[in-house]
Amino acid sequence: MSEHSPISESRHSAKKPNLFLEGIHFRIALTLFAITGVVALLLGVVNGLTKDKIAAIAEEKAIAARTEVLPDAVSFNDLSYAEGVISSVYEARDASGGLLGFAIETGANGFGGPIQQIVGIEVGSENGSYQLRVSGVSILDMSDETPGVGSKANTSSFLGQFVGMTLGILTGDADAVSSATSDLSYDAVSGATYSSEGVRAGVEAALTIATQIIEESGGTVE
Amino acid sequence: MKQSYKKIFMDGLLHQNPVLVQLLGVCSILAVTTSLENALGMSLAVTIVLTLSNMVISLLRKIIPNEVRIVSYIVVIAGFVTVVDLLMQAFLPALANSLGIFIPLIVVNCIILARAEAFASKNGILASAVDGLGMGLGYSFVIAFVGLVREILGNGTILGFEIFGGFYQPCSMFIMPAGAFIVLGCTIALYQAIHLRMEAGKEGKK
Repeated sequence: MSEHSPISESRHSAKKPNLFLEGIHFRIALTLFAITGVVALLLGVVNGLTKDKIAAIAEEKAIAARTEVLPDAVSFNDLSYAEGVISSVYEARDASGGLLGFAIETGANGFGGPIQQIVGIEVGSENGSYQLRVSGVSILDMSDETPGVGSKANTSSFLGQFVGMTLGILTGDADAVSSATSDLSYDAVSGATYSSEGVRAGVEAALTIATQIIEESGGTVE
Repeated sequence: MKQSYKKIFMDGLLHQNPVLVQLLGVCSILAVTTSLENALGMSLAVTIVLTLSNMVISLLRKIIPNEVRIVSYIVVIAGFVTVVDLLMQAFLPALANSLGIFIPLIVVNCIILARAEAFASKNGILASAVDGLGMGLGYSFVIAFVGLVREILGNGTILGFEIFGGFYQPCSMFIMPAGAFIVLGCTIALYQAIHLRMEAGKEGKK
């Protein structure tokens, strides 16, 4: 078989049949093995050196994003909740330990993939029932959206329109909209309908889950 | 066949420009030139990786067997890009944030493999570094130009700043894929027209 190989023809005579152990094939395999081995070793070393630092930076970013959407919060407790588009729920408390709101990480689908964002929800109480309002939205990762088109949804003018919204206003419930104290409405970014919808769906999911958490603990949500 | 470093550099930048003449790396140009900022990020990443991978491959050129050279180059380039990516994420998080998606894309940028095969595997380490730098900068100025034109026409901005003060309605086709082809095609045509005229001028003087 080796007689037909162009490699063996150029360097070996037909007298040496065992090309693998003695000849060129062995050298090729060994060199390639050595190169991949060295590269793999290098990657392992670099990964070991940088792993903790990268994880710490990601954690720092998440903390910064949670603080951005709920600036008054002093501590955040992980409620270890993940379901559907919700990837984490943090409960925010103020200095005296009172419930301030929730920072909820969602990953609803935009145009190219999930949009990772943190939605801050403020919990206010009045006449024995709770009101949940969006306090801020911060995008963590929307790199699957088209740069220059879908990425336009990551602007303060688009994200800012969610601030102050309740679940009723966001879903267009007529009673909630007419009784709203200020003029709140949702406008998609033109040309980026799917990306806008991804952000909006994440906010809606966050409001829904926050409502559910309050109701499960025995409160009523207005 | 020794070439002067100046000639190697100028070949990369103009005469053998990887994009305008060799038509390499076109897919990355079409994909990331939706804004000047993205284009600059990509050009920086490609130039650095191209120069360094050229040097490493030139260093290994006597060790790598001819039969498996392409595989070896890809392993070296991919390993190299991953190391750069990890180091940037750990130590330059701000830069990694803005270049994030472009770094892994460099592995499949055919300019790097083409220069490894066509130049670094046959030349010394210093010449390979100069070639990488020249080719990288040649790629950079084309990608920056296309990014600039597409951002102005498609978005009405330069690096995110509004420049027309509202009277120009941006034509969003230019930040769509179709606009990328049109702008790149016109850029190549423009380069060829200037290049041919210059060549004709040289001939005339002789």
